[in-house]
Amino acid sequence: MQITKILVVDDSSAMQEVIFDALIEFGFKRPRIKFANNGQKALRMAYEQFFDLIISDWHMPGLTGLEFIQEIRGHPDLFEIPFIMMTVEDQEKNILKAFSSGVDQYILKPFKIEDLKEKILKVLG
Amino acid sequence: MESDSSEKTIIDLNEEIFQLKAENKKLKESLRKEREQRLRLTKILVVDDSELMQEILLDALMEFGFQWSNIGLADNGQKALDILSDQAFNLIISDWHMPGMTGLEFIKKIRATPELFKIPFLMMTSEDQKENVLKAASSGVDQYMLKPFDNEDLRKKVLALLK
Repeated sequence: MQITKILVVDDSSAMQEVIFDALIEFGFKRPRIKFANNGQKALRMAYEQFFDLIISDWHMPGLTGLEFIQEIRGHPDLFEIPFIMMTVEDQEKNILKAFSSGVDQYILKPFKIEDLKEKILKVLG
Repeated sequence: MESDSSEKTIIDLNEEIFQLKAENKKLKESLRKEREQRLRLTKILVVDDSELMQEILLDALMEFGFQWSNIGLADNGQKALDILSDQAFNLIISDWHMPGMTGLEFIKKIRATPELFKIPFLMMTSEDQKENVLKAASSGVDQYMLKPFDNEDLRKKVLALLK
């Protein structure tokens, strides 16, 4: 947990803050948590740095969370990064679309902090 | 009746998610194989005057999936430059303090040579003073690693440099 490097992708700065506080509470370290406000920026960061986990929103201007995970899963160096999709999308067909794109865990907003923790621990194995 | 049908839907959904995850797992497996293939062909030059350190690095790199016949060894910057003059490498991992040409002089030479300037360079040293770390960065070092190092940390840095 000390060295786990996490990329949080959300266009809402309020949401970024909520997730940041939760991650700190779970024991992750401040300098190891990075932010992007859309998929395009997140993708660029993923090319340049090494992340152990990505937590991303679905609906964002520019590259969406779905397009972002598709890029990650198709990339020869990034395909293994655990990915949690965090969204208000509760329609069955959309949930399935996310999983078929390679999402490891799916969490519906609004979420309980403990649920997020459980899903993070699950994907980090 | 209604609750029955909604329960069934959740079970169906879980089943579908399970299958999708299995398909993704297969896909990841094939990408992993491709990467293994790629790593086996990647050439790395290790520059360190300590034979023990060379051995530790060689063991670590082989554990990551690189092939020993594709790993070159040199014990100072000058010898490394000689090797680089007739072999191409995808990555250089170098110590800082070595007799003859130091790692810092070596990276400066690399960055000033047209045929070599693009090679990713990882400096591995016990120099942890900020001014020295900055000096390395300004000389063109891509990644900096403090000794003693953690294997997992080294693996991440190496893979990131090969992206």
